[in-house]
Amino acid sequence: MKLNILILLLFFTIFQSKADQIYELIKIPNLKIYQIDKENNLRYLTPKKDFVTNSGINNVSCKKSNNYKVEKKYIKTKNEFNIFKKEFFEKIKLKYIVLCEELKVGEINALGFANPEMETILLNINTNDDDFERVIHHEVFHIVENNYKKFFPDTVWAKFNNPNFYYSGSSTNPEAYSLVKLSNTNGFFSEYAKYSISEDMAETFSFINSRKKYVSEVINLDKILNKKVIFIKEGMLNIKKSL
Amino acid sequence: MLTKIKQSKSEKILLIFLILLAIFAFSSFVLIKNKCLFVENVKIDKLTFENRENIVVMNVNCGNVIIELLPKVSPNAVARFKNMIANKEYDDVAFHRVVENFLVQAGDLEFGKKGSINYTYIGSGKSKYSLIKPEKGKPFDFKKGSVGFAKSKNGDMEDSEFFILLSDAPLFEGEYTPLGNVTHGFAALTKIKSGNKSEYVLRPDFINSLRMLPEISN
Repeated sequence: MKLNILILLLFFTIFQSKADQIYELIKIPNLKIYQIDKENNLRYLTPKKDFVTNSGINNVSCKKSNNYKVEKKYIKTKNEFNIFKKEFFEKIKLKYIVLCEELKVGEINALGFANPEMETILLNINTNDDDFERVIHHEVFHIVENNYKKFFPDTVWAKFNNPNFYYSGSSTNPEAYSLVKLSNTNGFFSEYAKYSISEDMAETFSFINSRKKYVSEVINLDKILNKKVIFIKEGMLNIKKSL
Repeated sequence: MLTKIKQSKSEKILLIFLILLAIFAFSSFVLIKNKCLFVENVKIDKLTFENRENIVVMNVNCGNVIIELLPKVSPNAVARFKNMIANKEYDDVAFHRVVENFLVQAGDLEFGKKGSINYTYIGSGKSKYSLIKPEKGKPFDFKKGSVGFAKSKNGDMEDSEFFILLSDAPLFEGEYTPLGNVTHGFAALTKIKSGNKSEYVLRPDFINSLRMLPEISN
């Protein structure tokens, strides 16, 4: 009897409900509409229940959260996104924001995840407010970069760093993923910026948008960061020109 | 002398059981099998339309479905749809993708035709016409009964496949090109065969015919 119940449960677990408009659009099951922002056309979604989905080579999982937490982070998220115009999101192809808890990408805890193909950003609402603000801009850049790589060539960026520097790539050390600003920048805003060119650019973009005062100070002291900030600003200006 | 024998209690129970069994057998083989039994067939001659040139009559297993096309919202897509209807392209084409209570999708002219259906590639076929660009810019409320062009497999373009919504989908606004709305016969759409586990249907239902109203009336 117990075996029968287990088989039945397994059956329902394997065949998750996928029959809805959101799955149709972004291939993530178990989501519901939280808000549709008519001003910038962003659609905010939350899980009805926990989900696991496949995004490229990674499995992405995230959990349902309570309404209070979602509302709090929704307001924060909306404020951050409101610094951009509707035309900007249309141009970079960003439409869906998923607010959920305990986000994991390939079994690794993550604060955010951008899926440019599905025009979606997933945000882990368990993130503290300071980091959360930075994560939003970080993930926005990944969407930007995916659609406008021509304005952000790796070859130019790589030359900004010291010749003996190599990006770390994947690491087992959790510190390597830290978003905390470095006291000794030496060309990088955070430890995570040393991971790859793409993350370095995303961190720079994130600091430019969320730590304006700090950036204006630090670029006077760090020539590498100065070049990186100018590079990102020029790239964004090129996108705006093409709007 | 004949004497009347009274039924025993057990004989009465047996008789009732046999009657119930007969009713059950009849329902199973006749009533339940006929999925269209409670679907009212739309009779076109009893309806009046303002824009007859934009009315499409789709005949499916359970009767007629009337669709009003919206050329003011999506002029190119509607023109394309009308052109394919005029060439009878959609006749005998499968509803190859059915998501229960959400949408039905048809229009694979390459792999979805009755008699030459290809289950391996169905949903990825092309028509003989060129791809067209989506018209997603104008506001449109995608709700139950809305008809839209599906995106082609090779990118953000459209070909011949279309879907009809069985429930509201506000997020589809700006994602798909609207073609029109079902005005009559929605119940017939809800009876279209769906797959058991998959969205793609094995031995699917077909569009019997798809015609513009003036063509039928003439």
